[in-house]
Amino acid sequence: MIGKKVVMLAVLILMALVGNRALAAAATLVVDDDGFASPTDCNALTPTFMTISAAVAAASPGDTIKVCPGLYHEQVQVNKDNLTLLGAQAGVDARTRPFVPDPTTQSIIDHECGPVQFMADKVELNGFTVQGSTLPDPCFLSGIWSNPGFSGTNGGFRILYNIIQDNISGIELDSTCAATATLVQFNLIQNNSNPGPGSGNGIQTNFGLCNAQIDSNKFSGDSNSSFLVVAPSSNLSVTNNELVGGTPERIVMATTTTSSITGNVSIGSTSSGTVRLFGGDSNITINGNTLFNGMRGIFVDDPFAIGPNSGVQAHFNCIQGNSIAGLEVGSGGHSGILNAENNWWGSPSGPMSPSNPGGTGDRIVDPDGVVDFNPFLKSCPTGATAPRMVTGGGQVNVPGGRGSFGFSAKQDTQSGHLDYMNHVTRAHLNCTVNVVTFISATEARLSGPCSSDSAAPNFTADVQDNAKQGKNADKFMITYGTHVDEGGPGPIVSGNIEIK
Amino acid sequence: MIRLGCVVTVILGLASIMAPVPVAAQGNGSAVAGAAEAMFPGGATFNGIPLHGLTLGQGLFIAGDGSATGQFQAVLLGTSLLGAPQDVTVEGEVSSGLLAVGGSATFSGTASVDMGDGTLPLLGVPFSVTASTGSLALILGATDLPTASVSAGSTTIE
Repeated sequence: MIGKKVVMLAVLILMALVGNRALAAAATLVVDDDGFASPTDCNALTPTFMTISAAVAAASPGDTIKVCPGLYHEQVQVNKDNLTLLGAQAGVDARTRPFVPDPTTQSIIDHECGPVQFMADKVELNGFTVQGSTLPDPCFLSGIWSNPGFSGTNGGFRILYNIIQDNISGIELDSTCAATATLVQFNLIQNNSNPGPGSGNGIQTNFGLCNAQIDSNKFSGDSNSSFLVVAPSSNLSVTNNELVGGTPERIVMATTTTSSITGNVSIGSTSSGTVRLFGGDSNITINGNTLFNGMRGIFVDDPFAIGPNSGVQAHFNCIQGNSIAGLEVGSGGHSGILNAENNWWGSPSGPMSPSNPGGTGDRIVDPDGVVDFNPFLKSCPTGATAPRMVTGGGQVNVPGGRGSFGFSAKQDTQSGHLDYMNHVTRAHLNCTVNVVTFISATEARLSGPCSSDSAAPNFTADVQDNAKQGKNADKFMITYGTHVDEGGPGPIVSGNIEIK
Repeated sequence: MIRLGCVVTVILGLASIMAPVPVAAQGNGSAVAGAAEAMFPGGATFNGIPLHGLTLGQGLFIAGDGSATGQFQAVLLGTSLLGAPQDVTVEGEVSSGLLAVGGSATFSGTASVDMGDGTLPLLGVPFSVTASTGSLALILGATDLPTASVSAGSTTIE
């Protein structure tokens, strides 16, 4: 009997020890801005942390911090390794979920001096809305900031399923080569263009980045670039991202080695080059990207005398509708041959080039004669074609009734016409379209001046082609005079809009 | 067999004579856009519905080879047999067209027609429109509606 008691006691002690060890290795801390929640129920009445910073202070390396929906007006400085911060939208693709801040469904970190700073290694941020950086130095400028050199760390972050918006810049992303791999994936990174140093970059690397993948993110409305690398970096993979047009969303690298830019889609970038290598880059592959309707699909140069790029290769890209060039290599921009074989230049006849008489595709500008573009593809491997024209006719809801619209416009000539009539107010527009921007394969923006007998001197219209039969799916919103987005945000009530 | 060939030739010849005279093909083709209101003359009906006017929204390109791409949408404003308003909605996909002497454009395609009476829309209804800056003539299925006069808004053909 005594023996049995001893055995049971030993078992209990062992269980307690194992349990404590497990708890110490992976505790879950909970944060809710009302101060009450449990790990499984944000409405539970269990007292818990009210701020993320308090939970970080109480956490041990390796812990998970679960953050309930709410508005967290604080600077979250993560200074412990291996912390995982899970927001309310963890695991939900941020590219397609609602981005209007809603503290009932989102975990929103909002701070004017920089919402999140990573000052440790292997931190994961998953499922948050990170926004609101507006103040200059000595604030952190970026929505998510890191600098291993400053922190005495290595980096190795996982930034997943977040909406990162309305900051001076989105992410300051850096790591040493001793860090584990960095992954930035399934994020919506938009409108990071508040005034300040480094404004307008979705992701920027000012201190160096090593062994990182930027995959399957959506960049929209960042006024300088999607991803900008200006410090020595290596082993970067920029893959499968969507660069929404109408702003200068682009991928820009200098002093970067052994990296790839693959499978990204850009339609209508207003930047000087959608993929821009501007000096000191080597062994960069640019493969399988869709680069439509920008100014230059790929631009390789050395404007700041960093040094010529080298070992750049570009294959199986679909390049069409770029107004200046499909590929431009500035004088002294690349040493050695730039292998650009097997790309689609927007025409079966190949690129427009002095060495390809009869080619009617996008231009190749190559003053040094370093580009090898032969053979070229007769069609785009994905079957995609650059949108060239948009037409529409139909009706939208307006306050008190309906409005009719009709338009036809072309991208290559930047021309067209738009008529609109509000049947309630009798306001009428008879306008020339002189700017046609395709923002994506399904969205376009038109603008231009209107005739003197119109209700306003000019207009801007945003249109969407979301279905073959546009009724109840396509969208038409027009701004003129004091009328903003008339006809939206709902779909058209009849008619159709077609982008092709 | 030979006689049939002659008949077809004659029909095609007549058709070419009767068709509007196209303007010489232009390099980039022509474009039509419009948003307007128009009034029918008295006596206009469609499927037994008396019509008094219409609203329209249209945008299309016509290529030099007679092909066209774009949209035509119109709401025919009518009155039901019970005296209530009854709007007939036409949503058309344009597939061919030409620019005629005098600044008008004729284009055609197929449309869905919603009678506005709760019945399912009619699909694949052929339509033809002759549009100018001041008028619009619509043939919808077998019904040749009288030319409507534009009373507000505008149509641009260029």
